[in-house]
Order: sequence, then structure tokens, then C-alpha cells
Amino acid sequence: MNINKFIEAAAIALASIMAHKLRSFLTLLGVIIGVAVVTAVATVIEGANVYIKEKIATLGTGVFSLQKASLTGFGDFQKFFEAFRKNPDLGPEDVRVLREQVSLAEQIGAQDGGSRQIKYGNIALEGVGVQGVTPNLILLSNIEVEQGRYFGDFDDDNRREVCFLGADVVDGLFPSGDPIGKEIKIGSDSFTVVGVAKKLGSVLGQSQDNFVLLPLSTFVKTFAKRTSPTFQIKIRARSGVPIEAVQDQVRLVMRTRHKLNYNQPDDFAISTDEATEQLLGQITGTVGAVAFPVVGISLVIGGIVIMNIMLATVTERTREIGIRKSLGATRTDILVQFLVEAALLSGMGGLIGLLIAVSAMWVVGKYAPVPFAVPMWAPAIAIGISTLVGLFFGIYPANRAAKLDPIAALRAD
Amino acid sequence: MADETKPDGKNHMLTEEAVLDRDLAYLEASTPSEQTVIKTVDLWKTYQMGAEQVHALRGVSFEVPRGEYLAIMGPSGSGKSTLMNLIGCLDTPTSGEYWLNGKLVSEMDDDELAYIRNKEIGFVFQTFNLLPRATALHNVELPLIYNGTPRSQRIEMAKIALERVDLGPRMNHKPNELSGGQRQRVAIARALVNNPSILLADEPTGNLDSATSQEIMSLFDDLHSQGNTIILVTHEHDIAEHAHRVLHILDGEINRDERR
Repeated sequence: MNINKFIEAAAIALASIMAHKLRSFLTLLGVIIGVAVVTAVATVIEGANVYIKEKIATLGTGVFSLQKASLTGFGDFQKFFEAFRKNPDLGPEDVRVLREQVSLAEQIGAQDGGSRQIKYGNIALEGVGVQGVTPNLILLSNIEVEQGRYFGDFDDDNRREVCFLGADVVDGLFPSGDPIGKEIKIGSDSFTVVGVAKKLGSVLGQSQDNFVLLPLSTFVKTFAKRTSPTFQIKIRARSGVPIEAVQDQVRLVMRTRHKLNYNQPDDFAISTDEATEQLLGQITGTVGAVAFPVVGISLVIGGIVIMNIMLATVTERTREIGIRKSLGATRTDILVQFLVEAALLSGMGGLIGLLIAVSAMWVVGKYAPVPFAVPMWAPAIAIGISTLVGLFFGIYPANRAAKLDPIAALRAD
Repeated sequence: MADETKPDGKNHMLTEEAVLDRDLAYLEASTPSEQTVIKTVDLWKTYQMGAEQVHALRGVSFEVPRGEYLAIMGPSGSGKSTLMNLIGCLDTPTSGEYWLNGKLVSEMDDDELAYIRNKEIGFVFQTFNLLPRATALHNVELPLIYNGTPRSQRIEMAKIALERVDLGPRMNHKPNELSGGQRQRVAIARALVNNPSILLADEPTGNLDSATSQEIMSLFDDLHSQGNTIILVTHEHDIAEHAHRVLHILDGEINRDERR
């Protein structure tokens, strides 16, 4: 088989497909739908994964969190709520002891908070996340200063009544003016604005900029006088130290503090981005597990339709096959010709499906909260798989064409 | 040499060497000379029709020297078409030998036959058998595609072949844009393009009016005078008139071998 014959085969195939455009298109519907769905699903999963990495898993490398309870540590809601009820709260004393005893940690920060109403003049905003944070927490989060300053140790040590605003709060309370130095009210207490954060955007349709930060000790003094605080503690490993070693140290300190026996389970939760990613990965994996068999079925049906139309094509072109054989085409030549045609036909279906999926995803992506990323491998897989489907289901018709007796074929009408 | 190895054979299996020697000796005895294009020895073709055996050919032997202009005539059912299919290497005989240009074609498999058809035979059919969606030029290129001639050379050769049948200006027309006579000229150009050993024409004027038939036949006459070996299969006497020798086939046998 040389390249000349192959080009000839491709040219014949293309001419034949183009001669029956509607028929070719209808033949390809199964493959088009299959490839469109596989590409769309891959895009959604890839988009979700990228999203989780960028937006949800924001701890960063070498950072993990210590909480009273976390969903990722327990895996199901029942256990999570039980742990949340039973486990001891984490407070300022825990932070102090950890800072003292966890030698492998570079930074240990903490935060606590809830949703509250805030006011400036006669403008009020409901449901704003009011968080108390240690001054070093900016190093453990993705918040950046847009204007003014973040907190320093003196703010925290002196329980100063200062605050740092998220971009949405600035837009809501100070539509036209400069917020720095102004006083906002949370409940009956006033706080002076010292800084403003850069806009973070939204995750899963929820704005990440709707927050007010206070120094943690200020927050505890103001809002957690009667209830005990439940801190979320964030810890970064020293560079070069494996995160697991730091986690082990933290676990030991906490178990000692809580006087747990060796056979008792942890009554706190340590979680990393990886754990979060895993949990969300399970969800996207389930989507894939449901979608891909459906795609498989539609590709098989698509393949059978192609086989059917190829059989019809072979019958229709019996005389052509006879002519070619009389002029010296071997069985292999004829076989390749029809295989190329089936593969090309199916590959075109793959291409159309891919284009449909990409443009549909582009439109959806403009309105959906989650960005969609078409994975780099999707086009290759889409066209590769559809071409293989064509090749596989083309074997039988092509073989039938190749085996035709030239005399009988020449006599066909 | 063959005699030394054969007689001691208590062993019924011949040694490899012995088989080779025997075959070489046989080849020497039966290989046609350089001047013979076709040699058939006792060709039989038998079809199984249900329980019945039908003998389409019953021992046909003849030779065609290079440059001959031969017509094969016979009524329908005479075995004429079967003989043409064998000569054209579209089929193999049930028994007997067929030598084409020094090669024993009757023993060949499908792929070898395809190669021989490509190289040695130029077909001209009653119904032209052109590819309807391809241009005249592309139709003529076809045999060259199947022997792997590079594209530029292929187009050059196809153009020359079309010019030989005076169709140079119409090479980019498709068959449905050409008259019957022109279509048959395209088919003849296609048959000639590979410089085959024989031009095998099956009722080449069967679908043409008499004026066009004359035009096509004079083209065959010209091609013969240029040295081509031509075999016409026909049942029309005035077409067979053009040939210098007529094989009359009847009931699967050569009834008469008539030379002029």
C-alpha cells in the first residue's frame, strides 16, 4: 500500500461522502451525539477540577487546616454532624499551645466568624461574613491588599476596633467615597476601616468578596463573650518539611491536650486541599461514571449505523468496484478504500460533535458560574475514538467489497 | 539432470531439488517463445449449477503471436464470454494452462491476477465502464494509481494517452458530458495508458451507432498498425471483419480458426 493509493482512497471517500451530504449527516448523528456528549462531559469535569484547584482548594501547598470537624475527614454528613456536636471547640489557648509546641510549622493562624448585618450611615448590608483573623492569616489565604493596610500584631494584641473590607462590602457601603478611615457598625459596635481587599470573584455563584475582617482577639472580645469560640486553625509547614510530619506533630499535641488514649479516635479534624480535591473528585468521577457508558452506547449505535450505510454503499458501488478490480486494484486496495471511507465518515462525525460540544460549552460557560475548560486531549480523543469506531464497523462492509468477484461486479447495474 | 534424480524414487516424495528440476524442464518445454503473447493449452471451465455441471469451455487451445489482430466470435452461450474473462485474467480456468507474455497466469492467486490485469491487459468494455463522478483524465489515471506511479508522472502519461485518442481538449469533462464515442475513446485511452501486452475489447461498439462504431473501429485499426496486439470479442460480422484472424467459438470449443 503506497501513499498514492492512500490519497486516492481518501479522495474517493471524500467525494462519495460529499455526493450524499444529507445521508452522510444522518448516518453520523449517533457518532456526533456520542462525541459531543463525551467532549461536553470531559469539559465539565475538567472545568470543575480546575475550578476546585483554583477556587475551592485555596490553602496552597504545604498548608493544612485544623478544625473541630470537617466533612472531608469524615466523608458523610451524619458522622460530620455528630463530630461537630461532640468534639471540643478550638480556641485561643489551642493556638497559643500549638505555636509553642509545633516546631515544624512556619506559620500558625486562626479564624472564626459568622454571618452578620453591617451598617454605614443609613446603608445596611445583610448576611456579610464577619471574620476574626490572626494578623498572619493573610499569609495563609488568597486575600491581597488593594488599598490601605492589613492588620498588624499591635491591632490583635490591643484588640483594636479596626476592620478590613472585602470588595463587595466596599461597593455596597461606599458606592462613591473612599472607605479608609470611615467607621462602620456591626451590631452596636463601631470599627474603623484600615484596608480594602482586592476582588476575588465568585465560587459556584457565591461571591468571595462579601466579608469584613477583624483582628481575632477583637472578634472574640466583641462577639464570642458568651459562646465559646470555634476557631479554624491554619498551619503552614516549614519549607522542606513534609506536610505529613507537621500534621503528625499537630495531632500529637492535640491528642495530648485532649488526653486521648491510644485507642481513641481523633476528636478534631485535619484537612488539606488534597482531601477537598479528593472529595470533589469523587463527585465529578460519579458524573463521568454515569455519562461515559451512555456515550459508549451511542458510539456503538453510531458505529452500527455506519456499518449499515457502508453496506449500502458497497452494494451501490459494486460496478465501480468491478471496474477498479479490472484495472488492477487488489483486494487490499479495495479494502483500504472502504475502510478509509468509513473512518473518514466517522471521523467527520467526531469533528462535528466536537465543534458542537465546544460551541455549546462556550455559550454555557458565558452564563454558568463555573468556567468550562475544554481539555487539550478532548479533540484528539473525540476524533481518535470516532475514527476507530468507523474503522471497526467498516471492516465488515469493506471486506465484503474486497471479496467481490470482478466479473459479477462488472455485470452489476 | 532431471533424469538422474527421478528414477531412484522408492520414496514417493520427491526431493525439493528434484521438484525444481522437473519444473524447470517442464517450463523450458512449454514456455511460449518471445513472439507469442498468448498461449492456452486445453482450457476447461466448468460451473457447478446445483447438481449439474456445466462445461462453459471444453479444452480450448490456441496461440496469439505479438501484434496480431484477433476477433473471437460466437453466439451467446457459446463460451465466448467465459473465454474473454479467462484471457482478461478476471477468472482462472478449472483446468489447463494459460500463458500470457511468458507468465503462467492459470496458476496465479487473486493479487497476482490483479497485478497482471494492471500490467498486461487493457480492457475496453461495451458499456465503457468509466467512473461517472471522475473526469476523463482521472479515469485514465486509474490503472497508474494501482501500480503506484507518482502523481505528476501519472497525469503526464494520462494526458498523452488521451491525446492519442484525440481527446486532449476534453480531458477535464466527466463521462456524462461526453458523447458515446468520446466515452469509448476515454476507455481506450485508459486501456492504453499502461502499455499493456494486449488490448481486450468486449463488444466495443455494442452501445454505439454505426457511424461512431466505424470511428472507433478505425481507431482500433490504427492502434494495430502501431504494433498493438488486439483481441475483439464480438458477435457482429462487420466488426470482426476488421480483424486478421477470427476464432469461432461454439459450445465451448474452437469451431473454426479463420485467417485472412
